[in-house]
Amino acid sequence: MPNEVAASDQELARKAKGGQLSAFDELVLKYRKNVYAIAFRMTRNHSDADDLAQETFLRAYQALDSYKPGFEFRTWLYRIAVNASINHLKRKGRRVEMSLEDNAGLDVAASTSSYNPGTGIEEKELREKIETAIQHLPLKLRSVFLLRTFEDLTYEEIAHVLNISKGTVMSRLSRAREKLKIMLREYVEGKNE
Amino acid sequence: MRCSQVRKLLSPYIDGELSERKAEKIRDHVSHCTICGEALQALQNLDALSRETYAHEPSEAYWANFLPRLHRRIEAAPPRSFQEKVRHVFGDILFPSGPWLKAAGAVASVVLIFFVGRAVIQHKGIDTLVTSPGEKRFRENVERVADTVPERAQKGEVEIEDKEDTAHQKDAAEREPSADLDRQEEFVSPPVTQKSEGTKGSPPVTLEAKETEAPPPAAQDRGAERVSISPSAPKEADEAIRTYVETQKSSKKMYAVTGDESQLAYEQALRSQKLGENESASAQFQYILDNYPKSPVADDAQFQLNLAQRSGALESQDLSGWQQQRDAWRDFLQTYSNSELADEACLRLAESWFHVANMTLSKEDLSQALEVNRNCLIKRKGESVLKKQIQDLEKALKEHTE
Repeated sequence: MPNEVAASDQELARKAKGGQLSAFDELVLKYRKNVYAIAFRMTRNHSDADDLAQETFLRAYQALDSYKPGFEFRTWLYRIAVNASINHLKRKGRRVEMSLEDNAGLDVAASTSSYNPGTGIEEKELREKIETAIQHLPLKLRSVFLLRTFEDLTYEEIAHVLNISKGTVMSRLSRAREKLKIMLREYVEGKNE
Repeated sequence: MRCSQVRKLLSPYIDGELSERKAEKIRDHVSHCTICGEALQALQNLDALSRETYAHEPSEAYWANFLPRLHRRIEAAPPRSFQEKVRHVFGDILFPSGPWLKAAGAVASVVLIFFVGRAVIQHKGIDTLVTSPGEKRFRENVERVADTVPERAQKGEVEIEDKEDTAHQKDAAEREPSADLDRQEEFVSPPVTQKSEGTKGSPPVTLEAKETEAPPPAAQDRGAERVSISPSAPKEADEAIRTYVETQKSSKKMYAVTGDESQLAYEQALRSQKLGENESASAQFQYILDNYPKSPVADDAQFQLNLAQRSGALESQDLSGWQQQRDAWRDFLQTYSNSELADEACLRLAESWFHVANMTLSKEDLSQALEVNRNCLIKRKGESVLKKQIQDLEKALKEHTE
Protein backbone atom coordinates (compact mmCIF):
# COMPACT_ATOMS: atom_id res chain seq x y z
CA MET A 1 0.00 0.00 0.00
CA PRO A 2 1.41 3.41 -0.92
CA ASN A 3 2.66 5.38 2.05
CA GLU A 4 0.52 8.42 1.30
CA VAL A 5 -2.65 6.29 1.40
CA ALA A 6 -1.67 4.76 4.72
CA ALA A 7 -0.84 8.24 6.02
CA SER A 8 -4.23 9.61 5.00
CA ASP A 9 -5.92 6.64 6.69
CA GLN A 10 -4.00 7.34 9.82
CA GLU A 11 -4.98 10.97 9.70
CA LEU A 12 -8.64 9.99 9.32
CA ALA A 13 -8.31 7.49 12.15
CA ARG A 14 -6.75 10.17 14.32
CA LYS A 15 -9.67 12.51 13.61
CA ALA A 16 -12.17 9.73 14.23
CA LYS A 17 -10.45 8.98 17.50
CA GLY A 18 -10.92 12.63 18.39
CA GLY A 19 -14.66 12.24 17.92
CA GLN A 20 -15.15 13.19 14.26
CA LEU A 21 -17.69 10.69 13.05
CA SER A 22 -17.38 12.00 9.49
CA ALA A 23 -13.72 10.91 9.42
CA PHE A 24 -14.74 7.45 10.54
CA ASP A 25 -17.43 7.43 7.85
CA GLU A 26 -14.78 8.08 5.23
CA LEU A 27 -12.84 5.08 6.41
CA VAL A 28 -15.99 2.97 6.34
CA LEU A 29 -16.77 4.06 2.79
CA LYS A 30 -13.22 3.31 1.75
CA TYR A 31 -12.96 -0.18 3.22
CA ARG A 32 -16.51 -1.50 3.50
CA LYS A 33 -16.24 -3.56 0.31
CA ASN A 34 -12.92 -5.13 1.31
CA VAL A 35 -14.20 -5.94 4.77
CA TYR A 36 -17.38 -7.41 3.34
CA ALA A 37 -15.37 -9.44 0.82
CA ILE A 38 -13.17 -10.89 3.56
CA ALA A 39 -16.21 -11.85 5.62
CA PHE A 40 -18.00 -13.27 2.60
CA ARG A 41 -15.04 -15.34 1.51
CA MET A 42 -14.67 -16.68 5.02
CA THR A 43 -18.35 -17.53 5.46
CA ARG A 44 -19.73 -17.84 1.90
CA ASN A 45 -22.97 -16.34 3.12
CA HIS A 46 -24.29 -12.85 2.42
CA SER A 47 -26.25 -12.53 5.62
CA ASP A 48 -23.27 -13.53 7.76
CA ALA A 49 -20.91 -11.38 5.75
CA ASP A 50 -23.20 -8.39 6.11
CA ASP A 51 -23.46 -8.82 9.83
CA LEU A 52 -19.72 -9.37 10.21
CA ALA A 53 -18.89 -6.33 8.11
CA GLN A 54 -21.15 -4.20 10.29
CA GLU A 55 -19.72 -5.75 13.41
CA THR A 56 -16.17 -5.14 12.23
CA PHE A 57 -16.77 -1.43 11.82
CA LEU A 58 -18.69 -1.24 15.06
CA ARG A 59 -15.80 -2.89 16.90
CA ALA A 60 -13.30 -0.68 15.14
CA TYR A 61 -15.27 2.39 16.18
CA GLN A 62 -15.46 1.21 19.75
CA ALA A 63 -11.77 0.34 19.79
CA LEU A 64 -10.52 3.55 18.20
CA ASP A 65 -9.00 4.51 21.52
CA SER A 66 -6.68 1.53 21.31
CA TYR A 67 -5.68 2.17 17.69
CA LYS A 68 -2.06 3.17 17.62
CA PRO A 69 -1.12 5.75 15.01
CA GLY A 70 1.76 4.35 13.03
CA PHE A 71 0.03 1.02 12.65
CA GLU A 72 -1.50 0.73 9.22
CA PHE A 73 -5.24 1.27 9.60
CA ARG A 74 -6.16 -1.18 6.87
CA THR A 75 -4.33 -4.10 8.46
CA TRP A 76 -5.72 -3.17 11.86
CA LEU A 77 -9.23 -3.22 10.39
CA TYR A 78 -8.63 -6.48 8.56
CA ARG A 79 -7.45 -8.05 11.77
CA ILE A 80 -10.77 -7.20 13.37
CA ALA A 81 -12.63 -8.56 10.34
CA VAL A 82 -10.71 -11.83 10.23
CA ASN A 83 -10.98 -12.37 13.97
CA ALA A 84 -14.70 -11.62 13.91
CA SER A 85 -15.17 -14.08 11.03
CA ILE A 86 -13.14 -16.81 12.72
CA ASN A 87 -14.99 -16.35 15.99
CA HIS A 88 -18.29 -16.40 14.16
CA LEU A 89 -17.43 -19.63 12.36
CA LYS A 90 -16.18 -21.22 15.55
CA ARG A 91 -19.38 -20.27 17.34
CA LYS A 92 -21.50 -21.63 14.59
CA GLY A 93 -19.32 -24.71 14.23
CA ARG A 94 -19.91 -24.30 10.59
CA ARG A 95 -16.98 -26.19 9.11
CA VAL A 96 -18.17 -27.71 5.90
CA GLU A 97 -18.35 -31.41 6.57
CA MET A 98 -19.37 -32.57 3.17
CA SER A 99 -16.90 -34.13 0.80
CA LEU A 100 -16.24 -32.47 -2.50
CA GLU A 101 -18.36 -35.09 -4.22
CA ASP A 102 -21.25 -34.55 -1.82
CA ASN A 103 -21.09 -30.85 -2.30
CA ALA A 104 -21.06 -31.17 -6.04
CA GLY A 105 -24.47 -32.74 -5.73
CA LEU A 106 -26.03 -29.97 -3.74
CA ASP A 107 -25.93 -26.39 -4.91
CA VAL A 108 -24.22 -27.15 -8.17
CA ALA A 109 -26.75 -29.72 -9.25
CA ALA A 110 -29.57 -27.53 -8.11
CA SER A 111 -28.51 -24.33 -9.71
CA THR A 112 -27.23 -25.78 -12.96
CA SER A 113 -30.25 -27.32 -14.49
CA SER A 114 -30.51 -30.14 -16.97
CA TYR A 115 -31.01 -27.64 -19.74
CA ASN A 116 -27.73 -25.84 -19.27
CA PRO A 117 -25.52 -27.40 -21.87
CA GLY A 118 -22.09 -26.21 -22.89
CA THR A 119 -19.14 -24.92 -20.99
CA GLY A 120 -21.30 -22.93 -18.57
CA ILE A 121 -21.80 -25.95 -16.34
CA GLU A 122 -18.15 -26.91 -16.35
CA GLU A 123 -17.06 -23.43 -15.41
CA LYS A 124 -19.62 -23.12 -12.69
CA GLU A 125 -18.89 -26.58 -11.35
CA LEU A 126 -15.21 -25.85 -11.30
CA ARG A 127 -15.78 -22.59 -9.51
CA GLU A 128 -17.99 -24.29 -6.96
CA LYS A 129 -15.39 -26.99 -6.40
CA ILE A 130 -12.67 -24.44 -5.83
CA GLU A 131 -14.85 -22.52 -3.42
CA THR A 132 -15.71 -25.69 -1.55
CA ALA A 133 -12.08 -26.73 -1.43
CA ILE A 134 -11.17 -23.35 0.06
CA GLN A 135 -13.93 -23.80 2.63
CA HIS A 136 -12.37 -27.14 3.57
CA LEU A 137 -9.15 -25.47 4.61
CA PRO A 138 -8.65 -25.10 8.35
CA LEU A 139 -9.46 -21.55 9.44
CA LYS A 140 -5.83 -20.61 10.04
CA LEU A 141 -4.80 -21.65 6.56
CA ARG A 142 -7.93 -20.27 4.97
CA SER A 143 -7.47 -16.79 6.38
CA VAL A 144 -3.87 -16.58 5.15
CA PHE A 145 -4.84 -17.89 1.73
CA LEU A 146 -7.76 -15.47 1.35
CA LEU A 147 -5.77 -12.43 2.42
CA ARG A 148 -3.04 -13.28 -0.06
CA THR A 149 -5.16 -14.36 -3.00
CA PHE A 150 -8.06 -11.96 -2.84
CA GLU A 151 -6.77 -8.97 -0.92
CA ASP A 152 -3.29 -9.14 -2.47
CA LEU A 153 -1.66 -8.50 0.86
CA THR A 154 2.08 -9.04 1.15
CA TYR A 155 3.42 -11.59 3.61
CA GLU A 156 4.40 -8.80 5.93
CA GLU A 157 0.94 -7.29 5.85
CA ILE A 158 -0.67 -10.67 6.46
CA ALA A 159 1.70 -11.15 9.38
CA HIS A 160 0.45 -7.86 10.84
CA VAL A 161 -3.19 -8.71 10.26
CA LEU A 162 -2.97 -12.11 11.89
CA ASN A 163 -0.34 -11.18 14.45
CA ILE A 164 1.96 -13.98 13.38
CA SER A 165 5.49 -14.05 11.98
CA LYS A 166 6.30 -13.71 8.32
CA GLY A 167 7.75 -17.22 8.38
CA THR A 168 4.46 -18.58 9.69
CA VAL A 169 2.61 -16.80 6.90
CA MET A 170 4.91 -18.45 4.36
CA SER A 171 4.51 -21.93 5.79
CA ARG A 172 0.71 -21.62 6.22
CA LEU A 173 0.32 -20.38 2.69
CA SER A 174 2.44 -23.22 1.32
CA ARG A 175 0.39 -25.73 3.30
CA ALA A 176 -2.87 -24.18 2.17
CA ARG A 177 -1.81 -24.39 -1.46
CA GLU A 178 -0.58 -27.95 -1.10
CA LYS A 179 -3.92 -28.99 0.36
CA LEU A 180 -5.83 -27.21 -2.38
CA LYS A 181 -3.62 -28.76 -5.02
CA ILE A 182 -4.45 -32.22 -3.68
CA MET A 183 -8.17 -31.48 -3.52
CA LEU A 184 -8.22 -29.95 -7.00
CA ARG A 185 -5.58 -32.13 -8.60
CA GLU A 186 -7.56 -32.90 -11.73
CA TYR A 187 -8.08 -29.21 -12.46
CA VAL A 188 -4.70 -27.72 -11.71
CA GLU A 189 -2.25 -30.39 -12.84
CA GLY A 190 -1.23 -30.95 -16.42
CA LYS A 191 -2.89 -27.77 -17.66
CA ASN A 192 -0.37 -25.53 -19.26
CA GLU A 193 -1.67 -22.07 -19.89
CA MET B 1 19.43 -26.43 -5.35
CA ARG B 2 17.66 -29.72 -4.67
CA CYS B 3 14.10 -30.44 -5.73
CA SER B 4 12.81 -30.64 -2.14
CA GLN B 5 14.24 -27.18 -1.40
CA VAL B 6 12.79 -25.75 -4.56
CA ARG B 7 9.32 -27.14 -3.85
CA LYS B 8 9.25 -25.43 -0.46
CA LEU B 9 10.01 -22.10 -2.07
CA LEU B 10 7.60 -22.30 -4.98
CA SER B 11 4.75 -20.70 -3.05
CA PRO B 12 6.69 -17.57 -2.00
CA TYR B 13 8.25 -17.58 -5.48
CA ILE B 14 4.91 -17.09 -7.25
CA ASP B 15 4.05 -14.39 -4.72
CA GLY B 16 7.25 -12.51 -5.49
CA GLU B 17 8.34 -12.81 -1.90
CA LEU B 18 11.81 -14.25 -2.54
CA SER B 19 15.02 -12.32 -2.89
CA GLU B 20 16.20 -11.87 -6.46
CA ARG B 21 19.07 -14.28 -5.83
CA LYS B 22 16.76 -17.08 -4.67
CA ALA B 23 14.23 -16.37 -7.39
CA GLU B 24 16.97 -16.69 -9.97
CA LYS B 25 17.94 -20.09 -8.55
CA ILE B 26 14.33 -21.26 -8.77
CA ARG B 27 14.09 -20.09 -12.38
CA ASP B 28 17.28 -21.94 -13.24
CA HIS B 29 16.07 -25.10 -11.56
CA VAL B 30 12.61 -25.27 -13.10
CA SER B 31 14.01 -24.57 -16.56
CA HIS B 32 15.66 -27.99 -16.58
CA CYS B 33 13.62 -29.98 -13.98
CA THR B 34 10.33 -31.14 -15.49
CA ILE B 35 8.80 -32.29 -12.21
CA CYS B 36 9.44 -29.04 -10.40
CA GLY B 37 8.38 -27.16 -13.52
CA GLU B 38 5.05 -28.96 -13.45
CA ALA B 39 4.66 -28.32 -9.73
CA LEU B 40 5.21 -24.62 -10.38
CA GLN B 41 2.70 -24.66 -13.23
CA ALA B 42 0.14 -26.38 -10.99
CA LEU B 43 0.58 -23.69 -8.34
CA GLN B 44 0.18 -20.95 -10.90
CA ASN B 45 -2.95 -22.64 -12.25
CA LEU B 46 -4.35 -22.91 -8.77
CA ASP B 47 -3.67 -19.24 -8.13
CA ALA B 48 -5.33 -18.19 -11.38
CA LEU B 49 -8.37 -20.40 -10.83
CA SER B 50 -8.81 -19.28 -7.23
CA ARG B 51 -8.89 -15.64 -8.28
CA GLU B 52 -11.77 -16.40 -10.60
CA THR B 53 -14.03 -17.71 -7.87
CA TYR B 54 -17.27 -15.98 -7.24
CA ALA B 55 -17.41 -13.18 -4.72
CA HIS B 56 -20.88 -11.95 -3.99
CA GLU B 57 -21.22 -8.31 -4.88
CA PRO B 58 -24.12 -6.70 -3.08
CA SER B 59 -26.20 -4.11 -4.86
CA GLU B 60 -25.69 -0.37 -4.80
CA ALA B 61 -28.84 -0.12 -2.69
CA TYR B 62 -27.21 -2.35 -0.13
CA TRP B 63 -24.12 -0.16 0.00
CA ALA B 64 -26.22 2.97 0.18
CA ASN B 65 -27.84 1.59 3.28
CA PHE B 66 -24.64 0.28 4.83
CA LEU B 67 -23.51 3.45 6.56
CA PRO B 68 -26.91 4.49 7.96
CA ARG B 69 -27.31 0.99 9.35
CA LEU B 70 -23.87 1.18 10.91
CA HIS B 71 -24.75 4.51 12.51
CA ARG B 72 -27.88 2.96 13.99
CA ARG B 73 -25.83 0.09 15.28
CA ILE B 74 -23.21 2.35 16.81
CA GLU B 75 -25.92 4.32 18.56
CA ALA B 76 -27.58 1.17 19.83
CA ALA B 77 -24.38 -0.52 20.97
CA PRO B 78 -23.63 -0.52 24.65
CA PRO B 79 -20.52 1.37 25.62
CA ARG B 80 -17.30 -0.53 26.06
CA SER B 81 -16.99 -2.50 29.24
CA PHE B 82 -15.49 -0.90 32.28
CA GLN B 83 -12.74 -3.53 32.26
CA GLU B 84 -11.81 -2.64 28.69
CA LYS B 85 -11.55 0.99 29.64
CA VAL B 86 -9.28 0.18 32.53
CA ARG B 87 -7.24 -2.15 30.33
CA HIS B 88 -6.85 0.67 27.85
CA VAL B 89 -5.62 3.03 30.51
CA PHE B 90 -3.43 0.65 32.45
CA GLY B 91 -2.46 -1.84 29.75
CA ASP B 92 -1.78 -5.48 30.47
CA ILE B 93 -0.32 -4.78 33.87
CA LEU B 94 -3.77 -5.23 35.36
CA PHE B 95 -4.77 -8.07 33.05
CA PRO B 96 -1.74 -10.32 32.66
CA SER B 97 -1.86 -13.60 30.82
CA GLY B 98 -1.75 -16.96 32.61
CA PRO B 99 -4.56 -18.27 34.80
CA TRP B 100 -3.01 -17.52 38.20
CA LEU B 101 -1.68 -14.19 37.15
CA LYS B 102 -5.08 -13.37 35.75
CA ALA B 103 -6.76 -14.22 39.04
CA ALA B 104 -4.22 -12.22 41.00
CA GLY B 105 -4.47 -9.39 38.52
CA ALA B 106 -8.24 -9.36 38.78
CA VAL B 107 -8.13 -9.01 42.57
CA ALA B 108 -5.53 -6.29 42.32
CA SER B 109 -7.58 -4.61 39.61
CA VAL B 110 -10.69 -4.47 41.78
CA VAL B 111 -8.73 -2.83 44.58
CA LEU B 112 -7.01 -0.44 42.22
CA ILE B 113 -10.18 0.41 40.33
CA PHE B 114 -11.87 1.19 43.61
CA PHE B 115 -9.23 3.61 44.79
CA VAL B 116 -8.50 5.17 41.41
CA GLY B 117 -12.21 5.38 40.65
CA ARG B 118 -12.94 7.05 43.96
CA ALA B 119 -10.10 9.51 43.44
CA VAL B 120 -11.19 10.36 39.90
CA ILE B 121 -14.85 10.64 40.72
CA GLN B 122 -14.29 12.78 43.77
CA HIS B 123 -11.94 14.98 41.81
CA LYS B 124 -13.69 15.27 38.41
CA GLY B 125 -16.78 13.11 38.36
CA ILE B 126 -17.55 9.88 36.56
CA ASP B 127 -17.99 11.66 33.21
CA THR B 128 -14.25 11.89 32.82
CA LEU B 129 -14.17 8.14 32.24
CA VAL B 130 -16.51 8.41 29.30
CA THR B 131 -15.00 9.75 26.14
CA SER B 132 -16.23 8.14 22.94
CA PRO B 133 -19.02 9.81 20.92
CA GLY B 134 -21.23 6.73 21.15
CA GLU B 135 -20.94 6.69 24.90
CA LYS B 136 -21.64 10.38 25.16
CA ARG B 137 -24.84 9.86 23.24
CA PHE B 138 -25.64 6.87 25.40
CA ARG B 139 -25.17 8.85 28.56
CA GLU B 140 -27.28 11.67 27.23
CA ASN B 141 -30.04 9.17 26.64
CA VAL B 142 -29.67 7.82 30.15
CA GLU B 143 -29.86 11.28 31.61
CA ARG B 144 -32.77 12.31 29.41
CA VAL B 145 -34.75 9.23 30.33
CA ALA B 146 -33.77 9.44 33.96
CA ASP B 147 -35.02 13.02 34.04
CA THR B 148 -38.43 11.97 32.82
CA VAL B 149 -38.86 9.06 35.20
CA PRO B 150 -40.48 10.92 38.10
CA GLU B 151 -42.96 12.70 35.81
CA ARG B 152 -43.79 9.53 33.96
CA ALA B 153 -44.20 7.65 37.21
CA GLN B 154 -46.76 10.21 38.27
CA LYS B 155 -48.65 9.85 35.01
CA GLY B 156 -48.55 6.09 35.34
CA GLU B 157 -46.46 5.69 32.20
CA VAL B 158 -43.75 3.94 34.09
CA GLU B 159 -43.98 1.60 37.00
CA ILE B 160 -41.51 1.76 39.82
CA GLU B 161 -40.74 -1.68 41.04
CA ASP B 162 -38.89 -2.84 44.09
CA LYS B 163 -35.42 -4.30 43.97
CA GLU B 164 -36.50 -7.79 44.86
CA ASP B 165 -38.70 -7.96 41.79
CA THR B 166 -35.86 -6.71 39.62
CA ALA B 167 -33.56 -9.36 41.04
CA HIS B 168 -36.16 -11.97 40.27
CA GLN B 169 -36.42 -10.80 36.67
CA LYS B 170 -32.67 -10.74 36.38
CA ASP B 171 -32.49 -14.32 37.61
CA ALA B 172 -35.17 -15.33 35.17
CA ALA B 173 -33.33 -13.62 32.33
CA GLU B 174 -30.16 -15.48 33.25
CA ARG B 175 -32.01 -18.78 33.27
CA GLU B 176 -33.35 -18.09 29.79
CA PRO B 177 -30.70 -16.20 27.90
CA SER B 178 -32.49 -16.33 24.57
CA ALA B 179 -34.85 -13.45 24.02
CA ASP B 180 -38.43 -14.34 24.79
CA LEU B 181 -40.50 -11.85 22.94
CA ASP B 182 -43.67 -12.55 24.77
CA ARG B 183 -42.13 -11.32 27.94
CA GLN B 184 -42.44 -7.62 27.85
CA GLU B 185 -39.67 -7.00 30.35
CA GLU B 186 -37.09 -8.25 27.89
CA PHE B 187 -37.77 -5.18 25.83
CA VAL B 188 -39.49 -2.68 27.99
CA SER B 189 -38.40 -3.06 31.56
CA PRO B 190 -35.01 -1.48 31.75
CA PRO B 191 -33.58 -1.61 35.24
CA VAL B 192 -32.55 2.00 35.16
CA THR B 193 -30.76 3.28 38.16
CA GLN B 194 -31.80 6.72 39.23
CA LYS B 195 -29.37 8.99 40.91
CA SER B 196 -31.16 12.32 40.82
CA GLU B 197 -33.80 13.30 43.30
CA GLY B 198 -36.42 14.51 40.91
CA THR B 199 -36.54 17.14 38.21
CA LYS B 200 -37.70 20.70 37.93
CA GLY B 201 -41.40 21.08 37.85
CA SER B 202 -42.13 17.69 39.24
CA PRO B 203 -42.35 16.52 42.79
CA PRO B 204 -39.32 14.62 44.00
CA VAL B 205 -39.55 10.87 43.91
CA THR B 206 -38.54 8.99 46.97
CA LEU B 207 -35.58 6.91 46.02
CA GLU B 208 -36.24 4.06 48.40
CA ALA B 209 -38.46 1.66 46.49
CA LYS B 210 -40.25 0.48 49.60
CA GLU B 211 -41.31 4.05 50.35
CA THR B 212 -42.64 4.67 46.86
CA GLU B 213 -46.36 4.92 46.48
CA ALA B 214 -48.07 2.21 44.51
CA PRO B 215 -48.29 3.12 40.82
CA PRO B 216 -51.66 3.97 39.32
CA PRO B 217 -53.55 1.06 37.72
CA ALA B 218 -52.59 2.26 34.24
CA ALA B 219 -49.06 1.22 34.99
CA GLN B 220 -50.15 -2.37 35.20
CA ASP B 221 -50.96 -2.34 31.51
CA ARG B 222 -48.89 -4.54 29.25
CA GLY B 223 -47.46 -1.54 27.45
CA ALA B 224 -46.45 0.35 30.55
CA GLU B 225 -42.74 0.75 30.98
CA ARG B 226 -41.41 -0.45 34.27
CA VAL B 227 -38.40 1.18 35.76
CA SER B 228 -36.63 0.12 38.88
CA ILE B 229 -35.13 2.75 41.09
CA SER B 230 -32.52 1.47 43.42
CA PRO B 231 -31.44 3.26 46.56
CA SER B 232 -28.21 5.07 45.95
CA ALA B 233 -25.71 7.24 47.66
CA PRO B 234 -24.23 9.20 44.79
CA LYS B 235 -21.49 10.76 46.78
CA GLU B 236 -19.96 7.43 47.63
CA ALA B 237 -17.42 6.51 45.00
CA ASP B 238 -17.93 2.75 45.23
CA GLU B 239 -21.65 3.18 44.83
CA ALA B 240 -21.06 5.42 41.83
CA ILE B 241 -18.87 2.78 40.21
CA ARG B 242 -21.50 0.13 40.87
CA THR B 243 -24.16 2.36 39.40
CA TYR B 244 -22.04 3.04 36.35
CA VAL B 245 -21.42 -0.66 35.76
CA GLU B 246 -25.10 -1.47 36.29
CA THR B 247 -26.08 1.25 33.87
CA GLN B 248 -23.81 -0.22 31.26
CA LYS B 249 -25.26 -3.66 31.82
CA SER B 250 -28.73 -2.34 31.22
CA SER B 251 -27.80 -0.27 28.21
CA LYS B 252 -29.63 -2.52 25.76
CA LYS B 253 -32.82 -2.16 27.72
CA MET B 254 -32.40 1.60 27.91
CA TYR B 255 -33.34 1.86 24.30
CA ALA B 256 -36.72 0.44 25.11
CA VAL B 257 -37.40 3.49 27.23
CA THR B 258 -36.43 5.85 24.44
CA GLY B 259 -39.38 4.51 22.51
CA ASP B 260 -37.57 2.85 19.60
CA GLU B 261 -38.61 -0.64 20.58
CA SER B 262 -38.82 -2.02 17.07
CA GLN B 263 -35.23 -0.96 16.46
CA LEU B 264 -34.19 -2.67 19.65
CA ALA B 265 -36.09 -5.80 18.72
CA TYR B 266 -34.45 -5.72 15.32
CA GLU B 267 -31.00 -5.44 16.85
CA GLN B 268 -31.86 -8.31 19.19
CA ALA B 269 -33.01 -10.42 16.27
CA LEU B 270 -29.80 -9.73 14.38
CA ARG B 271 -27.81 -10.76 17.42
CA SER B 272 -29.76 -14.01 17.66
CA GLN B 273 -29.17 -14.58 13.98
CA LYS B 274 -25.48 -13.96 14.44
CA LEU B 275 -25.38 -16.52 17.22
CA GLY B 276 -26.95 -19.07 14.91
CA GLU B 277 -30.25 -19.00 16.77
CA ASN B 278 -32.16 -18.85 13.53
CA GLU B 279 -35.52 -19.89 14.86
CA SER B 280 -35.38 -17.33 17.61
CA ALA B 281 -34.24 -14.68 15.13
CA SER B 282 -37.11 -15.49 12.77
CA ALA B 283 -39.57 -15.29 15.65
CA GLN B 284 -38.21 -11.88 16.54
CA PHE B 285 -38.41 -10.59 12.99
CA GLN B 286 -41.98 -11.83 12.88
CA TYR B 287 -42.65 -10.12 16.19
CA ILE B 288 -41.54 -6.81 14.68
CA LEU B 289 -43.83 -7.28 11.71
CA ASP B 290 -46.77 -8.20 13.92
CA ASN B 291 -46.31 -5.43 16.43
CA TYR B 292 -44.59 -2.64 14.53
CA PRO B 293 -45.77 -2.93 10.93
CA LYS B 294 -45.11 0.78 10.35
CA SER B 295 -41.64 0.73 11.81
CA PRO B 296 -38.74 1.89 9.64
CA VAL B 297 -37.16 -1.51 10.20
CA ALA B 298 -40.25 -3.47 9.15
CA ASP B 299 -38.90 -3.93 5.62
CA ASP B 300 -35.54 -5.02 7.01
CA ALA B 301 -37.30 -7.54 9.23
CA GLN B 302 -39.36 -8.91 6.36
CA PHE B 303 -36.27 -9.02 4.18
CA GLN B 304 -34.37 -11.00 6.80
CA LEU B 305 -37.30 -13.38 7.23
CA ASN B 306 -37.41 -14.00 3.51
CA LEU B 307 -33.67 -14.56 3.44
CA ALA B 308 -33.99 -17.12 6.24
CA GLN B 309 -36.62 -18.95 4.21
CA ARG B 310 -34.33 -18.77 1.22
CA SER B 311 -31.66 -20.72 3.11
CA GLY B 312 -34.27 -23.42 3.68
CA ALA B 313 -35.19 -23.45 -0.01
CA LEU B 314 -31.54 -23.66 -1.00
CA GLU B 315 -31.03 -26.60 1.31
CA SER B 316 -34.15 -28.57 0.49
CA GLN B 317 -34.19 -27.67 -3.21
CA ASP B 318 -37.81 -28.66 -3.59
CA LEU B 319 -40.36 -26.91 -5.72
CA SER B 320 -42.63 -25.79 -2.91
CA GLY B 321 -39.71 -24.11 -1.13
CA TRP B 322 -38.89 -22.00 -4.18
CA GLN B 323 -42.55 -21.26 -4.85
CA GLN B 324 -42.85 -19.94 -1.31
CA GLN B 325 -39.74 -17.85 -1.87
CA ARG B 326 -41.17 -16.46 -5.08
CA ASP B 327 -44.41 -15.50 -3.34
CA ALA B 328 -42.56 -14.06 -0.37
CA TRP B 329 -40.44 -11.74 -2.52
CA ARG B 330 -43.42 -10.77 -4.64
CA ASP B 331 -45.28 -9.79 -1.49
CA PHE B 332 -42.24 -7.92 -0.26
CA LEU B 333 -42.05 -5.85 -3.43
CA GLN B 334 -45.75 -5.08 -3.26
CA THR B 335 -45.68 -4.10 0.39
CA TYR B 336 -42.37 -2.26 0.45
CA SER B 337 -42.11 -0.94 -3.08
CA ASN B 338 -40.17 2.13 -1.88
CA SER B 339 -37.77 0.20 0.31
CA GLU B 340 -34.06 0.59 -0.22
CA LEU B 341 -34.00 -3.18 -0.30
CA ALA B 342 -36.40 -3.40 -3.23
CA ASP B 343 -33.62 -3.91 -5.79
CA GLU B 344 -32.13 -6.71 -3.77
CA ALA B 345 -35.59 -8.23 -3.37
CA CYS B 346 -36.09 -8.03 -7.11
CA LEU B 347 -32.92 -10.05 -7.56
CA ARG B 348 -34.21 -12.66 -5.15
CA LEU B 349 -37.57 -12.77 -6.91
CA ALA B 350 -35.81 -13.37 -10.22
CA GLU B 351 -33.77 -16.11 -8.63
CA SER B 352 -36.87 -17.79 -7.16
CA TRP B 353 -38.62 -17.67 -10.50
CA PHE B 354 -35.55 -19.14 -12.15
CA HIS B 355 -35.54 -22.11 -9.77
CA VAL B 356 -39.28 -22.65 -10.03
CA ALA B 357 -39.15 -22.64 -13.83
CA ASN B 358 -36.08 -24.84 -13.74
CA MET B 359 -38.04 -27.42 -11.77
CA THR B 360 -41.42 -27.32 -13.46
CA LEU B 361 -39.97 -26.74 -16.95
CA SER B 362 -43.41 -25.56 -18.01
CA LYS B 363 -43.50 -23.07 -20.82
CA GLU B 364 -45.63 -20.71 -18.81
CA ASP B 365 -43.21 -20.66 -15.87
CA LEU B 366 -40.18 -20.34 -18.14
CA SER B 367 -41.73 -17.35 -19.92
CA GLN B 368 -42.74 -15.72 -16.66
CA ALA B 369 -39.32 -16.34 -15.14
CA LEU B 370 -37.65 -14.88 -18.20
CA GLU B 371 -39.77 -11.75 -18.03
CA VAL B 372 -39.10 -11.24 -14.32
CA ASN B 373 -35.38 -11.73 -14.84
CA ARG B 374 -35.33 -9.29 -17.75
CA ASN B 375 -37.24 -6.68 -15.77
CA CYS B 376 -34.86 -7.09 -12.90
CA LEU B 377 -31.86 -6.69 -15.19
CA ILE B 378 -33.17 -3.25 -16.15
CA LYS B 379 -32.83 -2.22 -12.52
CA ARG B 380 -29.68 -4.20 -11.86
CA LYS B 381 -27.62 -3.59 -14.95
CA GLY B 382 -24.45 -5.58 -15.11
CA GLU B 383 -25.64 -8.24 -12.67
CA SER B 384 -23.87 -11.28 -14.09
CA VAL B 385 -26.09 -13.76 -12.22
CA LEU B 386 -29.15 -12.34 -13.91
CA LYS B 387 -27.54 -12.44 -17.33
CA LYS B 388 -26.66 -16.07 -16.80
CA GLN B 389 -30.17 -16.90 -15.64
CA ILE B 390 -31.68 -15.14 -18.63
CA GLN B 391 -29.35 -16.99 -20.96
CA ASP B 392 -30.32 -20.32 -19.42
CA LEU B 393 -34.01 -19.53 -19.48
CA GLU B 394 -33.87 -18.48 -23.12
CA LYS B 395 -32.15 -21.74 -24.01
CA ALA B 396 -34.67 -23.75 -22.07
CA LEU B 397 -37.56 -21.95 -23.67
CA LYS B 398 -36.06 -22.51 -27.10
CA GLU B 399 -35.64 -26.22 -26.38
CA HIS B 400 -39.20 -26.32 -25.15
CA THR B 401 -40.49 -24.76 -28.36
CA GLU B 402 -38.44 -27.10 -30.55
